[in-house]
Amino acid sequence: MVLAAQTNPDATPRTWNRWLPSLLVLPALLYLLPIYLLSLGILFAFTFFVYVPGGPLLNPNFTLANYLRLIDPLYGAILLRTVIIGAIASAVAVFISYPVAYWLNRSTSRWRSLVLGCTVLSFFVVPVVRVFAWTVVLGTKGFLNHVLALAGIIDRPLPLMYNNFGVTLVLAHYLLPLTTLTLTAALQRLDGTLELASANLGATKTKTFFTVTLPLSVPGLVAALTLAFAISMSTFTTPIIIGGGRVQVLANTIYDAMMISHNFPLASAFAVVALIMTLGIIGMVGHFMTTRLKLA
Amino acid sequence: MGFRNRLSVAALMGAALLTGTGVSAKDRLVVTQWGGVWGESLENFVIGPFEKKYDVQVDVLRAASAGELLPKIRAEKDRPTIDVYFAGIQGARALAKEGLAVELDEKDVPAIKGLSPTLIRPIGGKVYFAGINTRANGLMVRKDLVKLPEKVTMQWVADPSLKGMVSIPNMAFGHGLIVLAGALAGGGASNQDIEPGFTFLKKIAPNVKALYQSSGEAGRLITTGEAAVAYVSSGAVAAPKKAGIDVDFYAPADMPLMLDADAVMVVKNGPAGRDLALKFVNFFLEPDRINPYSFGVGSSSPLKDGPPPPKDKVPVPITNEQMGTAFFADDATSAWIDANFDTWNERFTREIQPALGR
Repeated sequence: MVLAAQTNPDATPRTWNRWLPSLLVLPALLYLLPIYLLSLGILFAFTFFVYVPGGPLLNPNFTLANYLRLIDPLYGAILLRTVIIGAIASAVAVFISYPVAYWLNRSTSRWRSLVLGCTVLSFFVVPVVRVFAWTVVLGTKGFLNHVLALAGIIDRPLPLMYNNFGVTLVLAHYLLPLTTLTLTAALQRLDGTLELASANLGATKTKTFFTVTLPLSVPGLVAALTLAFAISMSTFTTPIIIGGGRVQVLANTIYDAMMISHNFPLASAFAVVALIMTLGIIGMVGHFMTTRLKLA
Repeated sequence: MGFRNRLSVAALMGAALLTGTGVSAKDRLVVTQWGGVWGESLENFVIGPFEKKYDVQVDVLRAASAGELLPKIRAEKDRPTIDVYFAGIQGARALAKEGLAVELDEKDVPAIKGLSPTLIRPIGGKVYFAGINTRANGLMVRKDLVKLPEKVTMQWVADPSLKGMVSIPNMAFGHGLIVLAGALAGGGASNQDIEPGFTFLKKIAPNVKALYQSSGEAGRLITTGEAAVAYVSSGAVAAPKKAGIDVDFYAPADMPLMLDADAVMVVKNGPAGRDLALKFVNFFLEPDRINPYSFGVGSSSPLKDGPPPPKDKVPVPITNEQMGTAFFADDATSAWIDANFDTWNERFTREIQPALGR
């Protein structure tokens, strides 16, 4: 090595240049890998432990009983509810965010900075506060019911909270800043000359949007949808407060098993199954949309 | 940079160093507590005066319920991060049996002698936790939203006129308190049969609008008018009353008095050390602190010669004799709850949640 460096003065800088990007990733890897792998490993091991009611927290005797218990339709229904609420909330958030992100990229309005600022700012509001604010709007004696009653549209309060509808609505709102910023960044990377070329070839604005802009933004849409869905699969605060303890989803069930029943093995099994399922769904959606993009 | 500027920078750096290196650092004690009136009373009547008197810093670790911290204490048993744990009787007993608590003997905690004997539950002849308050559980009713019956009973909660107006705790609250209360209200309750509890809950389920998991949440539901009737621990009434809501607490006439108790204990090998933690517990149990704290959380005084509580703060005063007959009191009941809680929790999700009113 020393000889090579002496005979070829470029060798060391070139090697250095090749390794530098990898080295830059190293601190993050060193920080994240042990945490993720170790905690996931421990979690996975817990799933095979025996639960003893009222006994020690961890009883390292091998069993598959925790996974078998998840076959119960009760838990199947909770998983399904979580997926449906998450999917609808993510889709709604992406659907609403896309026009905003598009406008933020294309507009030269002086309001642009304000809208972008508000989107970023909403990240800084504590989720619990944001969710509590919705109780003022959606409650039986809340703002919305009050206005509708005053307008004579309803004669009894609408059930806007303590159900799947309320949870989905508030969750979609919670996801909005995230999907808007993800899509804004994605749309920024689009090659604007392609849209110009489309216009030059006689396409209308609408046709350009549907045949050029939208297909090119699919990777951004996939990213926004994936992020939103992953977050909504682990949502906890919204179902607790807006669902009034009645909308049982994945995170609450894991919390209950772990913190209330102190059934660590069942909670861990649920978490592992949920992780595999979430990754599977995200993978399928990503694959489907990418394939469609290639075909397009 | 002129001399004067250099001097100022040096002074600032010196000050920063002094603060940062802990020249004025105090001993720290980690105490657990819940939110709402519990946290408020502990802060005002105990923590503040303790910090002042002993020049220590008390860090409060808050949790929605005492049970939430049980796994933490168990998991940290070799290197605990908590010194003083405020628990339910159930949790305190479990930790003491697992050898995770420090003995509270009269030499270190002389104030323990003042407690009502019914709140001292020795294990193997030694005291590891002290009962600190006993509250009645019952119904918190918004009188401006519902028409009160002649006698407020638990059976009334099932009345169709209360459809969508009731809130009950989930299973987490008070370690299954609601199903135990249901068993008492449904009749035939014993520490071996929970069926009357589930039968009763199914009966009232159509009227239930929301499940709460902390007293604060129950107070919010009542204050905002989302619920007009809630099954609560009497301490929960304080917040809505303070907000000027026309609310009162009633011990249901058709069931035995259901009591709920808390306990305090010192975690073994806590970071602040045994002596400081025991000093805190003793300070807390002295009449000047324990009485106002108890009244603040809607409890009678736990002292055997304690003063009667103010009526506006403690709607249902509990006598020492009543404390002795509390449902939670015996080991057999505790063991029964522990052994069955996971199953009850699952049954609650399976049978009661889907039956809640739409």
